[in-house]
Amino acid sequence: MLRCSALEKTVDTAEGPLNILKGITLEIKAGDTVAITGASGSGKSTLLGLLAGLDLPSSGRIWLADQEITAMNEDQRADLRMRHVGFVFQSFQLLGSLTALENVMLPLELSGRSDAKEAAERYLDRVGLGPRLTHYPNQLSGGEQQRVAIARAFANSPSVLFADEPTGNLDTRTGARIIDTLFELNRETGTTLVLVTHEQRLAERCRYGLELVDGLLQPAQPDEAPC
Amino acid sequence: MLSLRLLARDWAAGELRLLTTALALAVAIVVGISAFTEQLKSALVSESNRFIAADRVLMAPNPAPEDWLQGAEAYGLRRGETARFASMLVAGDRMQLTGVKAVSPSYPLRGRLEISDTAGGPSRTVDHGPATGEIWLEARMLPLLSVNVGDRVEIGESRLRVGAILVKEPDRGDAFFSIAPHALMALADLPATRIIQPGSRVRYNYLFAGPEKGLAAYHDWLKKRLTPDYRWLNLRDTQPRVASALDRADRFLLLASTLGVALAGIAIAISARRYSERHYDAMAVMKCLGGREGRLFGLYLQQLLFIGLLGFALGAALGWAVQWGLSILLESYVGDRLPVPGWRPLAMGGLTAAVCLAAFALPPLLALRTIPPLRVFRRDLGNERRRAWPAIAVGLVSLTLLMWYHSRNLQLTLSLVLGACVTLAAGGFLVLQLLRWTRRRTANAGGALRLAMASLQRHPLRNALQVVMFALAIMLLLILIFVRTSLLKDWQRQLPPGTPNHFLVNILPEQIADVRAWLGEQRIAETDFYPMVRGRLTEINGTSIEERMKREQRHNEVQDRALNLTWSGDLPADNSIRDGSWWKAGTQTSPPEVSVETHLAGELDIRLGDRLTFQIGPETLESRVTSLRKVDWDNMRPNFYMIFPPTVLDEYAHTFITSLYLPPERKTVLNAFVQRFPTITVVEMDAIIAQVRGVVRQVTQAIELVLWLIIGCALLVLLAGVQASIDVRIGENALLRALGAQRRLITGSLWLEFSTIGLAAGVIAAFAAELAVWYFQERVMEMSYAPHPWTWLLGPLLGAVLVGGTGYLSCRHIVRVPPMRLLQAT
Ligand SMILES: Nc1ncnc2c1ncn2[C@@H]1O[C@H](COP(=O)(O)OP(=O)(O)O)[C@@H](O)[C@H]1O
Ligand SMILES: [Mg+2]
Repeated sequence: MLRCSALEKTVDTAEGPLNILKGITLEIKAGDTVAITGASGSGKSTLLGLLAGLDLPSSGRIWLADQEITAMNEDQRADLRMRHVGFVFQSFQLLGSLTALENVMLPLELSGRSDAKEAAERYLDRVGLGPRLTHYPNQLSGGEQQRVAIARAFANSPSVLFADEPTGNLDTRTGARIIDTLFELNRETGTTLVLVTHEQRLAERCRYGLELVDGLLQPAQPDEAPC
Repeated sequence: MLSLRLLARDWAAGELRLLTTALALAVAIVVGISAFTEQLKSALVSESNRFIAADRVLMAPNPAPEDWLQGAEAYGLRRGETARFASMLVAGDRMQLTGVKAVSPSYPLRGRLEISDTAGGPSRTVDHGPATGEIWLEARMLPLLSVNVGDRVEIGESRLRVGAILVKEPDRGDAFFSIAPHALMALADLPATRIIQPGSRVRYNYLFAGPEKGLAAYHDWLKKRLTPDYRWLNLRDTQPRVASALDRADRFLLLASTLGVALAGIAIAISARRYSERHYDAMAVMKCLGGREGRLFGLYLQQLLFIGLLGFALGAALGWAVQWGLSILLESYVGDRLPVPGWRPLAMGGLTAAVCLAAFALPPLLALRTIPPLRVFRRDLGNERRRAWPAIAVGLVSLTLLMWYHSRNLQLTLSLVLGACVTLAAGGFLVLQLLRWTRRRTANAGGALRLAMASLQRHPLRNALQVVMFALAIMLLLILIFVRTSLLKDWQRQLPPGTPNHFLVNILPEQIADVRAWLGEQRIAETDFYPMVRGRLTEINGTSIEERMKREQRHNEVQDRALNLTWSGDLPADNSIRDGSWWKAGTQTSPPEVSVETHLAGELDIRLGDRLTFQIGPETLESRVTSLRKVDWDNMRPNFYMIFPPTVLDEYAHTFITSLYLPPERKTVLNAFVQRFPTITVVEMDAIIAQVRGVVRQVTQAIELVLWLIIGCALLVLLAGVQASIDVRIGENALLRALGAQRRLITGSLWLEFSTIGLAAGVIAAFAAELAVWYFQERVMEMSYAPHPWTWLLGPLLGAVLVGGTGYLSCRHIVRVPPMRLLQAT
């Protein structure tokens, strides 16, 4: 489903080039759930962005859904994201000018689905926000916003879901509920899940874990994140 | 359509209102003002109805060749004809010297006549003169001749029936040459009277009316044939005051629309930029969700197009309403329905909208296009300082082109743009330095002031830019207020109450004492009595005028026309020497000195020291030009092109002229005056003065209305500017409150912060506006410039109050909402 080899990422900073990823090779099978952990600033988000085709690596190759995204142009990658990729972010990334329903409808509308409204309502209902369709993000709590984001991520029936610290901005109880929702939907739809987190409980629920240390991936320490 | 749905959502969220409003205002101003200026032009035409009964008049001392007149028909012009002369009217044993106008059946080409059957009775309008065999008399004549409507009067060898009482005629305004009282007859009856003999003084007027192009083309054709005896007149020649009032109003409105468009353009640029910045996140998210860059950008472009259409529709409707209101004002005065303006104003509005969107709203939107999807992880991506120069350059060039297009004056536009750029850049730089300097000074000031200063200093460049932008808006507003004020003042000064409204001409030297005594008895104040000698300027430096004109390839609008010469020991009031010097009392030179009016001197290219030869009766008089003199022709006093020192003209036959003010209710005094001094000509100017006042009043109202529109634009710029800076402030202030700052402190600091920005903007604006107004008044409006000391108060005050107020009002909600919500939302 998702594969990369010898992935490197170097960015220019004021203090000179910064080598964030130093050669990452990885293969994730369809339907798998993977947790990527690592210290803050270790490059987790950078890796996720590359795997999802939001950015290009300095070197190395990436395949998503049997297509090499490192050989695609931005438009082709956009098409691929539309068909295969869903996102959940730490900071929710809902559009403030749109209601909950409209936020979920957005990917469906972009892909030209005529039943966007019905589908979006269904997913919002599924995450327990049926009565809050017309609320704007700033009228919702953090947990509710993240549930909207989850509904949006699943709305397009992606084959891979990338979640970047989905509970990072939430308290423990709310975070736990979000995790439940995420995994329930994942089970129902059979989506591949790539989860970036620093939360033990979340990582534990994945089939296996990887840790990003010093720009390289290594299996997560069993005592830290048992598979 | 997805773009429409997105647009509707953004609209509901209030994101687009400012942009659309700014666009609508730009369109409204352009449509409203250009439609109205078109109507002003029609008003000018109907003014000419009033004053010359035609669009153009060819004035001649002899009948014009028939083929000249027929030539007019080839240009699609209608024509008419009048002949004016003085003649004795006789009824029984009564006789009265009367100014008679014989008119062709097509007279009047423009405007209508008003007649009645009994003196003071109800009047009716007609669009033709008297039928053959009829004569129409002014009411004043009935008692003089002791006749009534239906009676017969003799004129020359004919007897004509008094058909009606003449109440009003369209070209009565051209009264200077006519002799009161007055009568109208048919041109066809003229030969039978046998009044017109070779050598008798008749003035033939050939009237033309038709489309402006035809008139111009015909004049070109005719020009080559005209001899110096002929004069080609339009309203500008006969009614310079009305024409100049309308001209100035026209120029003011053009200036207003130019500034309005500039202001609206700035508001559009700011709000589009904010709109675009607020969509960076949305763009990144949508790219993440799989939207292609081109497609997403297309969505935004479509939105822009819809906004353009919406703004245009709203603006066109508003503009139409504005012009409708203005035209009602104008119609109430013109009395005629003005033609509905055509599609041109709408097209101009559409063009303006398109250019505004393309030049001001598109560049910020282009920045949106390249927002990387990775921004969802790193908020700062795409925020890095985009090079603003290309957008600013595009905006500036388009603004210049737009202003040029609207003002039709490249020099004005360039100097305005350049002047604004230089002063504002200098002002901005100064503010920047000041901000950096005060950083150290205010470090230990307390409370709100320190907070405000800290906030200003946190983003010195952005705040300096904001100051410059506000300064620009305030400057444009100040300019318009200045020009308007001095325009109105100028108009009021031109015809103050009590302006002389009657001239007494043809007073013999020995009558002066009697006239003075009589006027004194009636308690009527007259201006001085000025001597008047009829003469003709025939040669300049020994060359005949005719030859000189030919040599200089000038067309013969100015010719050796008859001039009224006068003498005076002192420089008359309202005259000022522009070149040379006025003579000292008692000095005699040979050849005698002469002072020439500057305008005529310009037309005939007369310079200081030139030798002028005059023909006065059968004699010639040589003189030397020793001064050029500017005359205020608007003051309704006797004014002269040529003034000689006293005694030079003593030996020539001369009469005197004076002017006086007569309130309307005392007009009947004239009957007694004419009876007492039958040889003195009374020239009535009161109707003209009333016209000019009417034009000025209506146009003034129009100008006020337009000013409000422009104020709306300026406020919009302020609002857009404040809102653009609010996004940052909301975050910062929420944080401050979270950290424990009290509401009072925050509102106080916001007030101070915005007021300080406004104050700085106001000072710069006052300086820039003063500079610009000096330029306008001197160069564009042809008015004299006087500094405006109160600008220096008004500018900063206006800035502080407006910007402070708008800022405070727009930020008010920041302190009402719990800080938690704000922190969440950002
Ligand atoms: N475009 C970039 N420019 C400069 N530094 C970057 C850029 N992208 C990432 N970094 C840096 O690389 C490091 C890893 O970032 P990130 O992937 O966001 O880490 P994580 O998500 O693990 O906290 C951080 O120190 C970050 O500042
Ligand atoms: Mg991260």
